[in-house]
Amino acid sequence: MVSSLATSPPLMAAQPEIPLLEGRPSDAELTDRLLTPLWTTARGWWLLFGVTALGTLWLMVTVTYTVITGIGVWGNNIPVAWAYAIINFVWWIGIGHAGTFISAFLLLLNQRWRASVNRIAEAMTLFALINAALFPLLHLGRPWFFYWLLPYPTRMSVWPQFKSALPWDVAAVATYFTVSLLFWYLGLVPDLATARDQAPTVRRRRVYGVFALGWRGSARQWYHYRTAYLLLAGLATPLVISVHSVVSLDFSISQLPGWHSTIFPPYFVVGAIYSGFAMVLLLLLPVRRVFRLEDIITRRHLDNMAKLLLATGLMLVYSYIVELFIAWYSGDMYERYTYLVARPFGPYSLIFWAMIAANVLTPQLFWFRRLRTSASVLFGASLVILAGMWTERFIIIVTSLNRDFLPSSWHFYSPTWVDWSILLGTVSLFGLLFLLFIRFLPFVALHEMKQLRYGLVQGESSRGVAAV
Amino acid sequence: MTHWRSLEELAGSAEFREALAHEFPPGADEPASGMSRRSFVQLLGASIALSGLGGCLERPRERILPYVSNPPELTPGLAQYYATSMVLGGYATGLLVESHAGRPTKVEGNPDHPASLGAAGVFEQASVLQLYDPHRARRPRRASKELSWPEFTSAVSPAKLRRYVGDRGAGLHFLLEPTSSPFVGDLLVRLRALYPAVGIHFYGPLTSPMLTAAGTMAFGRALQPVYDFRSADVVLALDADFLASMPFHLRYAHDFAERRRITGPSDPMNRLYAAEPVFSPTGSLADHRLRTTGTSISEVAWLVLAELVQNHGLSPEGMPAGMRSLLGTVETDDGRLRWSRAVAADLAAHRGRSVVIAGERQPVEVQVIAHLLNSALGNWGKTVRYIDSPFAAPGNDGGGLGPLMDASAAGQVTTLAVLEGNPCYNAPADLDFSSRFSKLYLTLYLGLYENETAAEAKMFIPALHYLESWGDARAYDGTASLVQPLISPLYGGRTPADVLLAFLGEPDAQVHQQLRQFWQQRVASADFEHFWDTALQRGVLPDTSAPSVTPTLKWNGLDQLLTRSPAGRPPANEPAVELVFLPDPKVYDGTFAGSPWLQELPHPITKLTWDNAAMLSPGTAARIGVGSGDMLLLEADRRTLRVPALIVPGHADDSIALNLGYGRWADGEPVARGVGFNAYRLLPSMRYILPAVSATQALHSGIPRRHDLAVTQTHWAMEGRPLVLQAALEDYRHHPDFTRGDKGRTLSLYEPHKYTGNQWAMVIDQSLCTGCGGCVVACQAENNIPVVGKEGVLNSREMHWLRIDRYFSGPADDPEVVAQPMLCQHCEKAPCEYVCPVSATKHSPDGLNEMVYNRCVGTRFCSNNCPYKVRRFNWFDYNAEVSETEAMAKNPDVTVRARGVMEKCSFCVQRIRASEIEAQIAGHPVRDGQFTTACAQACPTKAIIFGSFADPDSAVAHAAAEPRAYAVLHELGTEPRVRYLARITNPNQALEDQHGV
Amino acid sequence: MTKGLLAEFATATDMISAVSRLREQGYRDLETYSPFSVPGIDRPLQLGSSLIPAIVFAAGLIGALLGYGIQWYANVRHYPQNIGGRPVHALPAFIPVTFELAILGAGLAAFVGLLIVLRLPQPWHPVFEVEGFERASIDRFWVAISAEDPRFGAGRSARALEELTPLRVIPVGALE
Repeated sequence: MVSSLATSPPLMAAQPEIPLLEGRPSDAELTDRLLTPLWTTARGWWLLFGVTALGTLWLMVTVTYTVITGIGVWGNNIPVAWAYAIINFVWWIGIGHAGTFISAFLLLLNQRWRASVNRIAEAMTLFALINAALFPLLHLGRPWFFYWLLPYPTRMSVWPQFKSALPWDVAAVATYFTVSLLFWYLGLVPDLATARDQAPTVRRRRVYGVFALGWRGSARQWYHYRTAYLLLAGLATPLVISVHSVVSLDFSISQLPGWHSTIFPPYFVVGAIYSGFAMVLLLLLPVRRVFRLEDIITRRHLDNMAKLLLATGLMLVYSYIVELFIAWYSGDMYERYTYLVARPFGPYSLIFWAMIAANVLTPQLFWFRRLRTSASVLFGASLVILAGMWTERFIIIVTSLNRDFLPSSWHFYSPTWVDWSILLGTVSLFGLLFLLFIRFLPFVALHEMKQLRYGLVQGESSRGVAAV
Repeated sequence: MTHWRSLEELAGSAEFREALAHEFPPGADEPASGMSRRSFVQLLGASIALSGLGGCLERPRERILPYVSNPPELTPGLAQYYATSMVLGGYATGLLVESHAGRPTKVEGNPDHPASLGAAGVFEQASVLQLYDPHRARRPRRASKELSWPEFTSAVSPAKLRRYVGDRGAGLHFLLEPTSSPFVGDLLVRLRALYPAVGIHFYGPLTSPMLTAAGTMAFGRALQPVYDFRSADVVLALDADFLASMPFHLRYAHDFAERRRITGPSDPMNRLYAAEPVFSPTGSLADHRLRTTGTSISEVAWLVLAELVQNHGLSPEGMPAGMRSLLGTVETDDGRLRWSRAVAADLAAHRGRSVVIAGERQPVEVQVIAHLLNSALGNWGKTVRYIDSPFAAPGNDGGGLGPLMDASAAGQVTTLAVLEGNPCYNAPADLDFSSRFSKLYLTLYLGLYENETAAEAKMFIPALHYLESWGDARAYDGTASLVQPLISPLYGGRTPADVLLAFLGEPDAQVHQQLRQFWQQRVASADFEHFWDTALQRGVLPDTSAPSVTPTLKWNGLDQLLTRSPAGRPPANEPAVELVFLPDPKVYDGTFAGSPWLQELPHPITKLTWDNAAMLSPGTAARIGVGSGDMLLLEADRRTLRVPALIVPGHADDSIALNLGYGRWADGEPVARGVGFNAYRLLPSMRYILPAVSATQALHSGIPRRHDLAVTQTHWAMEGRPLVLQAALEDYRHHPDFTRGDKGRTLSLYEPHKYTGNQWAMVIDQSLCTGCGGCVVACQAENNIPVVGKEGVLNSREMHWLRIDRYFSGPADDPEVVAQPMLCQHCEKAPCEYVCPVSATKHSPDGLNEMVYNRCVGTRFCSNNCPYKVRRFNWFDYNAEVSETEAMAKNPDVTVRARGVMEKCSFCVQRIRASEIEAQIAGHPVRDGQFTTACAQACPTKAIIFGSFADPDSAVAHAAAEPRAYAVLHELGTEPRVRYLARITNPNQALEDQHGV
Repeated sequence: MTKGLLAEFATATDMISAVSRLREQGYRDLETYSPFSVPGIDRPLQLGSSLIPAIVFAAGLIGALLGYGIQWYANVRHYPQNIGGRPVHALPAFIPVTFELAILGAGLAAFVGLLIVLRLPQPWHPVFEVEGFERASIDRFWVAISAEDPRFGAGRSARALEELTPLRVIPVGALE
């Protein structure tokens, strides 16, 4: 078995391998274990559900308050006209990058280990996107006119202004959400069929049956299914790169020191995947623990994820360095002030250094295999990294705005309780959606696990076989 | 006694209730808060007809005349303009008031009036909002009981009043604000004729008694100087803020600017020396500013005089030889001496072409020395002329509060009628006016508001706003002008003249007719009708300016003044500091504390809004151990005041300055109530500077240690960025192109956009901007700009389309202040435009950066990408709570913005379009100077020039072609349509090496 | 396949070999059912071409054209405006939306195309009637011979299947 894995995918280390699947549970066993959560509800689930439901309710309250009163209830001002709403938007949408990255990018790279984690990652992506999409809407002065950003014919013949990056954003986020949803659902269909066939009651059989679209698992179905899935993966991969690039353009097309930077697109994409993986781990580790999936989501998976964190983390560090260097090298007094004075020593320097600590130092842990494979370390690190990436967006947005060209307009920014409520509210909503997901849908790709097992049993290399 | 009982009987009697019924037209006594649409329309209709709608007070139909001849430099649009005058501190400023459908909406200066020459200050401009203030008093009352006008008139009619004050009117006293109104003066004379013993007193906290006192001391006659800055090459201002706050400052600023403005490197420029404790707009424009305490100004004046007499052989006219020696040689050598020497030399070199002006808060001896200096310099009759004070002072007692209080202490005051003013609030603390006033047997107060004085008065009558009333007044130079109403009284009310007529027993006399008759008797004009009409149309009574008087110095009594040796400063270890009381640049003496516009107008130097604070130098602050916002405990004559400290670079050490006019407590003015701190609690009588008060950090438990100061500009340095470029005149001559790097087209990948037609543009001359804020208020009034309140300002959400950035530059201990009006730059390559997702901001063919409010969704990306941060966002619905009367003040030509949209300077596009239509009708292209923006129009120094770049001969094109023109943040390639002229100063080489002290 | 014979196997390997054997015997209209996509089943079943890539490519192209077209029509043709002095036809600025719409079109086409090609959703199918067939989505592997196959003969084909030692052989639809 071990020997069969000699042809290791690039991200795996060389030493004796931790297997991708410990033991060889039969298809039936796999199915039973992975589907039981659908038929039973634990008390703990109800508890978490209650908590997140309350949080979501609070989100609705504060959002309503904002829409009725005006966004003046936030801390924003002139010069800092963008703050929490946009920070949260960028943060959530960044998190939403890991799912597609894992399922599409790793699929193309033929990374078989994705099998047991991609479903959760994809679901996470969708939920993050739902939260992200909330903010551009809310932050408008007149949210009820959001549709003016869409091109539709009017008597006044007014159209969106496509030189602005915001309509690009609309297109990118909408596309990304649609494609991610299709990708996720397509992956679900065979498992929904399994759920249909396993369902204890007729009602459930019917419900799952409807969503399974009458999947039979015939060779022809599998063949076209694979083609479509691969194509979607092929499309989603450039898409995932493009989305955060476009988001970064929201800033870099401006001429604000701290925003007007050519490295932004790759820098943002890397940061996005970095935070995304942290979030995947944050969700994966408890699930793995609660449902005793240590043999299916093995330490090997943790190891790989940690390596990805390390890699993206290092790329992020590189971006930071380049930013600073270019600021100095440009000789532009405003750039220099923002990067070399305002951020490290200005009114928000504490947050800046917190960001450095979280994003630059944390990933260095993962040079050590023991730490890479320790669930608790990973969990903690993920939390820190997520916070760190949030502060990064805070630094990018607020410190660039609050001290720009004319010192006369410099002014401090501080958030209000509404800002905080909405941020925490979206976290609750995210949790709520995830809880519903693991309760009602197969959160590990059954058919892919079975295939992985089959592949392992056959002891054949994965080369040449699309690892669907 | 009986009399009062009888009045009550009258109030109770049936026929009175009968009369009452006829007296009050339906709906007229509704409060505006509950004003019904119907009665609102009635008001409007009435105003259009310019006829009187009753209110509680019957008014006849009167005819007022529009400003018919429109000089090309100001053509109103469809609105009508009327000339009138506003009185402040007793002096009139001529105004043109824009009126839409009978609603005065905007106040502008009257170019024909000597005190205005077309400019209007912040108070004049904001007065229109006061007219519509829903908090104005509406209800005449005795105690808390309704009081009708006939009830009142019969009560004070001689017939009734004599029973009480006797035939001579003993115990009857009047307290008025200092007035220059010839008509009121005449009424007072008649009143004295009726009641020989009547006491008539005047008090205005900011009407300095020093001027007249100095006149009396130096000339034995209350003469006041009028300066002519147009022919002054060198000006020495001794703590005199003649550019922004002294009487006649609009005119002075205009004249000064005439000599300050240069159109090229070769032009000459006047030179301004200022010695002052507090950074004033005048000081910020000075070529050499001496930072010195208010008490030491006399020393500086004395040093300059001694220098002139001894080293330049210049002595005041008729100075006895013996007296020259009295000015012994000066020993003290600190910065002051060197400074004074240089100044004296420069003045001596410009005999007859210089001005020495002393601030009205400076004590008598400084005023006198200023007279002597002007005499020594031969400025009399050239740059300085003397006139009799235009104030009405009937009989021999123009007594102020002092005599009145003495009389009341002696029990000689039984009846006191206070006609306007607010003495219970702003009387000097040591007089204890308020408690005395409340003890008097019968007190009457006529005022706009139920304010502090109204609260203590037994009888209260609402006053009329000047835009609702007839009257006349004199300007500082004596020129008389008329006050004509633009709208019938909104809430009813009376003028001081009405009340005086009532006392004279002529309750039915109409002020309008009386006024006409008064002038008819005095004007030797064949055709009085024509004279009167022209006067109303022009707003000025021809050739009424006061004749010059050739003064003669009365030397006896001056010797001791001259011999006194310079007063040394208090040693540094001593905690005592001097306390200087200042008129507030925003609320004056508190009169305008109820005006949201003015409360939110940033202080010219400190940029403080919605507050006043103890201004002090960094050094003094360090010595006391306070920072900005820390509470300070001031103690003088056993009276204390807790007030937050505010550190101002360039403030004199050992000196603390307080603006008067805050800390109001009356419920009648909710906007003013509780804003700031009441400096009157320490104000002494007859002085504006307390030489020694103790200032300590307020550490008492229970009171807040800190106070949030809403300052609109929190960062005061330019960070070495090329924002306000400046140069000395000499350097400019040698390197005229020193702004070369900050102008011209920047490289671009694209072809520049092809423009057609007029290309609107603006040039701002930073050599002339005093930072007074006139343009800011003008913009606010013209463009319906909302007010956000202290909380809003604290969160940097102020809505001003035009703000005045203020930077400190130069050495930290003695910096310069530069002011830079900052507004939408209307960039040809506007960064705001290309980031808007819905084209809510775009460029017009005539080069305007247009903001389309109803297309805006409020992403605020435009503001983020605006390097000048001049865009303003409606965070809330700021117009939700506008009362119906306040709504009447809105400019109908300008959209009132909704919640959630961005707004910014539009270059007064409504004026542009109006003038285009007008030009089209007249069949000629829009002429240069045919109209201008509100800010340019209000500017007293004409520092703002507006016009079209398309016309190479336009003023704006010429200004932009000046070598020192440049664009702020030019290197960003935004191609702004607003250009700045670098600030040129004209320093004295002799003082160059040492910067101030 | 709506009529024919089903043979149930325990493992994927048995299923694959069964299919190859049947092909050797000349059966052409074969089908298999499995809980996952079994590698190596395509060759014996001769599954080699799919319409989907073509559909996706076309849709992507349409999306791109639409994306650019809308922007050009809105900002250049229908209502050109002076926006910050920039050129009205700003090609670089139009790229992102064009790209995103290309992906959107292609992505939707991939999904919809699949449904069309597979004629899904199809809630009912004769094989669902087969008792125990639900394990096809869990852990059983089925081989089916369609009645349409020219070599199909109820008895003969059944025997052929029996020789492959399946767990059992069951007819689908109404045979005989």
